[in-house]
Amino acid sequence: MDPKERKKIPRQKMPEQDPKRRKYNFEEVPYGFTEELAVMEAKRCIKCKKPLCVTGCPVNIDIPAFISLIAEGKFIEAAWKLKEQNALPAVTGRVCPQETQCEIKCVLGKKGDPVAIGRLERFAADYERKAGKIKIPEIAEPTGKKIAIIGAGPAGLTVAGDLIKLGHSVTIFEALHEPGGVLLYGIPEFRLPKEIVKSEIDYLKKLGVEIIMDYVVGKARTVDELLNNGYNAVFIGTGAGLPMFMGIPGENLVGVYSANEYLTRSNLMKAFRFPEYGTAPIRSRKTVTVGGGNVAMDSARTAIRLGAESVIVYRRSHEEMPARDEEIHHAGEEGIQFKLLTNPVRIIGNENGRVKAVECIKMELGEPDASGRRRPVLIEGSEFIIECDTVIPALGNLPNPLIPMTTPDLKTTRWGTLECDPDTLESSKKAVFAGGDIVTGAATVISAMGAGKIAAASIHEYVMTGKVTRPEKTQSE
Amino acid sequence: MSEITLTIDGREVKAAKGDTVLEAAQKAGIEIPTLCAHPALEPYGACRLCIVEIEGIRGYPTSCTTPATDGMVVKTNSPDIIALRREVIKLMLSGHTSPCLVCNHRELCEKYRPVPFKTGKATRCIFCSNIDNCELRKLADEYEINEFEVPIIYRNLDIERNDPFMDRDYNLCVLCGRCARICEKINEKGVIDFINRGKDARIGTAFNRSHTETDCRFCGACIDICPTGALSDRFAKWYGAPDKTEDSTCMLCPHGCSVHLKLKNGKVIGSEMTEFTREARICAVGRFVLPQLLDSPSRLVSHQVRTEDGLMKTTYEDAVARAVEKLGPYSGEQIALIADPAATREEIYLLNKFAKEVMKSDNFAIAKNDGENLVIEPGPVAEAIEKGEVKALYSTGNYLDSATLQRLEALVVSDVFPSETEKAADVIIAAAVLAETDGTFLNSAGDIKRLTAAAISPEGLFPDWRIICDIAKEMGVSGFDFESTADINKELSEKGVDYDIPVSPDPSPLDDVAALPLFYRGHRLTDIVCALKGLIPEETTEESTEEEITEERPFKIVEKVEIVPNTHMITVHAPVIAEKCQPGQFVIAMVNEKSERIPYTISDFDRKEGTITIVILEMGRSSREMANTRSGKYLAHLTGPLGNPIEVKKYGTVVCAGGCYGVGAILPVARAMKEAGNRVICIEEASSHYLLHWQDKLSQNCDELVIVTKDGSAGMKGGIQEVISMLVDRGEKIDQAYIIGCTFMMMLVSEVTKEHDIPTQTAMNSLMLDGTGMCGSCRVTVGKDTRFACVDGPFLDGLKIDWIELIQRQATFRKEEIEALPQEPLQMHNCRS
Repeated sequence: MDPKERKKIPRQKMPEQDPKRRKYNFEEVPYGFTEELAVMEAKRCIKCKKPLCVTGCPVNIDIPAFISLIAEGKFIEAAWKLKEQNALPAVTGRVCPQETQCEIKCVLGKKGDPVAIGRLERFAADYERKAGKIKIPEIAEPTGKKIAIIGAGPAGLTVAGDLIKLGHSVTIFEALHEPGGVLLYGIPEFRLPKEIVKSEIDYLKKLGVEIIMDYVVGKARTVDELLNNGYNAVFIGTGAGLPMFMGIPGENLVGVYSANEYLTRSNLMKAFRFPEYGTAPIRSRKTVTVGGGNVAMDSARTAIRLGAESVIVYRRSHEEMPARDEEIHHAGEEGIQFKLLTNPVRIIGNENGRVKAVECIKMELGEPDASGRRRPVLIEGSEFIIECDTVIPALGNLPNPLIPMTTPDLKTTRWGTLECDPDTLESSKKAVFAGGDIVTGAATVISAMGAGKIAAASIHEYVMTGKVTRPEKTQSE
Repeated sequence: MSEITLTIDGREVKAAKGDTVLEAAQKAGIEIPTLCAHPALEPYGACRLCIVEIEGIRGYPTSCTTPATDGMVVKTNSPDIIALRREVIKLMLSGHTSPCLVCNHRELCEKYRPVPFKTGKATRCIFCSNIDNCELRKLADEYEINEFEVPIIYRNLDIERNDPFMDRDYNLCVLCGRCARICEKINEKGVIDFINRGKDARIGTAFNRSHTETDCRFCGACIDICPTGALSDRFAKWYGAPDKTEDSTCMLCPHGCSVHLKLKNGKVIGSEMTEFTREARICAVGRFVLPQLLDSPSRLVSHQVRTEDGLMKTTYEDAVARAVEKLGPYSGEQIALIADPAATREEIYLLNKFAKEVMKSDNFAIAKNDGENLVIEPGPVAEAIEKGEVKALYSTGNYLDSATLQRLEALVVSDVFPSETEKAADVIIAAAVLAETDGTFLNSAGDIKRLTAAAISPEGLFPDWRIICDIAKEMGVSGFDFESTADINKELSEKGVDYDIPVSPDPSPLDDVAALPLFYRGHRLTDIVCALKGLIPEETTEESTEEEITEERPFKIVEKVEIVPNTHMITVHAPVIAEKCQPGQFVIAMVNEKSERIPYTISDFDRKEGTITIVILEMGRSSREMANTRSGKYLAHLTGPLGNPIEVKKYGTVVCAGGCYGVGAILPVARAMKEAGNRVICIEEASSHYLLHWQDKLSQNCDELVIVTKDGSAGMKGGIQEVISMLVDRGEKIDQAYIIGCTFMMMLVSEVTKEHDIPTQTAMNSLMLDGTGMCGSCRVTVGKDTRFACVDGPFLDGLKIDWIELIQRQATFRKEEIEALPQEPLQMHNCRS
């Protein structure tokens, strides 16, 4: 097929659950490509000589290679190709913002729609899992080096996957009772089925990664104690898990839950299956979620599935919403009401200290601020009341201070993130590396995984040679 | 009957010959307190509360057993009698744990803690599910009992939780004998009676067998007549007193017994016999299953229609429209309708009318529950479907196997629970049923019984009669414009309803638990109300799925003991935590993979053995799971040490005070403070003497141990705050206080330490998920700031905490906590999962 023919194929749509149905269940929204759709979509790739898409990928997946395997019908091989660079393709195929990473670089995107790289990645990974043909890659000879990884989230799991293949002994310490980090407690089932997370983690375990649950580094052991007890290097991937609140009156009323709590109850603790599971669900008639990011979308969409009327309040306009377009679109389809250019000023409680309403004020957009987004400005006298019984601040998270607090020679920035060499992810402390939200502040799953790859390379070099060299920049952008 | 005249309290009173003095007084509106007496029971004279003075009769006869005679002169409330009654009540209370009655802080406690704690054993009123209805408590208040001079005895009998539906805590029993007497009256041969003698006397079954091994039919009369919290309905107990009662009819078997429904916030929390007579008795299904059916977590609460994507939830209007669309093309022999025997006459009439007049079909059947097996009568419906003659079906339940149903072209179901039928259905309309609907029921005696729509159905659900009317109207058919069941009943009475009187089950479920009805709308009741399995012998064998763990796992329980009633000590092997933990820190535990994550303060640790010890109060589902663990078993998860240790240094004089589970938790604090060279005063608070524990451990780690009890049965009378005032009064300069216990206690104590300017650290017991700062559930307002108990605490400045807010926050999941409590007997725990 020549490039011209390829270009004539339209971008394939991924079938998905009807919004009228899915708003009542926690099943995954998109069904994924069928084999036919996947092959058709894969054929759209024109196999550029210098594939720009790869430059957009934080984990350097050989995108044209895996796509062309799909086009040939070699689905399993495509999955294996993905796994050379990415330990969790079924996860990233679902939650990566491809539209701002690989797909935005796709040449086809200049005149039409880019190749649906994310959907193809998801297809290949799912195909491999369903076929049960998980390939265990070759593991290098044991190096005798022991690496401790703190946090079984996307960054830690990526580091573990890369280092185990290089022959190191890898132990992940996880504070919660199940591994997965934000993939488990944060992202809801309907966006990322937990079975997939579990199977990706099982894959790592098969490779030989040891995961110790219920283990809070910083409390049970400090980083120094790990280093003094036979670990040659430590990777910190503890994420950004400290919820931010708005600092407005009424925030401690019963009925105000951080998005972390709201989502963790449902996702990790399976409160939607209460009383079979012991954790109580949050039953609301009407929830107001504050924020415009993916976490706000996840919270508002969970609320509607738990039977509540669900409203999102965001202080800027649609344009500035940090959530992925797809998530905003899905939320709208499911009947979530958006109150944009609106900000809460006060939460009002009843005589029992329970939320009965939230008072908001209207905003308008002024001059751009430091982030380049137009700054929202209050419209005086525009206050109004939204009656509700639940308020979910989804305003982002700060890094968890537990490890910096208990590791005196670890330097932090004024935002509480760890100071690291951006190219090697070495921290200010010898033999300690870090990556993901603990370094960048709250960001995406894939950027944490990208950091994991860099850190893994640095750690490998460090434990083998005792030093870390800065990678030469091959491409300037 | 001849009339007699007597004088009671100076009033001339008329009574019938044969009346007792008590009855005569009651007829005249003169109140005499009673406890063992009950209108349904013969006079008994056991409790001696109803004593009176009668001229010419020596001593103080009990009015319930003394016949009234003409010309008798009776005094019911002379100072002597009142004094005697007070003594009688105090004697009863000495064996019925109720320190709350004489607690100095009762008023505030009832204000801030309006509902009882869901404990295992009720060691005080606020731990008792019957607090709202306790007759003894009412008497004690009426007679102003505010101190006990007699010793308080707690027998510490095990609470019996192994029978379906009932919890029995004989520690609360006052031996009034009502239960045994009503049992004998209703069942002819009583199942329970007094056993043992003297101080060991109690109520029980012969040979102390479990009730399922006796002739007990679980009619619930003993529970419903008990004046205390000794006997309780496991499902309903924590909902408290009903806010409404209604008489109605149970339709779950052809008997159609009358039931007395108890409701709270529109939800049925009890279904009792309408009067305590043998004739009015009901079976276990009527008494216990009926309320739990409507409240089942598996209940269908939304309407669904089939689409390309499978079943999809929809509105009622849409479901009705889709039902019409599906059924519309069929008529005559092509369509069949099946009704449930547990339907009202109005519903059966309407379905029949709909079949005949609208669908022009004679294929109308009422399913029949034949004990174990479910039979469709007339059977030909299934056969006709198999043959392909019947192509469409409207069914009010799950009656046919899925293979048969799959042959249908159209299937519309109105139902209450999920089933196989659901998988084949084109439209499922969730129905409001049983106590949510009214109408009449034709029972096996040929009587027409009335139903009351007492309960509030889930939003958007309607009863079957309305569903049929709406479908007919949507089809554009006239003759279905009924506004109420009364309207239908009117037409029905004119035209007559054409179905047979249902056959009385033989043997009757009233006499034999083996004959209990086991189906409702074709659903097996044991699948919906799990505890019922306890009454079905063959189903109890599959219990106990607990697998023996052979592999080495972390978190082995080394020791588990109930130190004092309701308070359990658990020592767990967790070397990593034991090595690192410091006084003041806590752990988060999950007993099994489906448990909540619950924080527990570390009460002790042994670095050498690698163990930590926690002390817990059984107070809800999760702590009950913990209380039910045993030595040698494992916890699924244990994380720690979490939170900040206390600041150990030399302060001077340090007070370490604990109440309830906090007694254990102050031990490591006291020890560390003592080791740091402080003068340490420990205060142990308990409701009553039998709840005191660890005095030896505490005394070894302090300079002075002060005991304080709410009822004054040991040490000082009062609470920690009174002890602190006492210490200050005697000239003690307290430099630092550590307080651990319930939030209410810590609030009261902090008020006192604030007055005396004593720096006070209080241990937070907020709700938590992760315990590492991620969820923010444990937020506490301290001064102007918000603090997270997990990472900023658990000890926070008691003088600055917004205690009222904290108490409110802890009640966040009050309703869910009641729902979460297991309903099945103890040995079947978690069979719903």
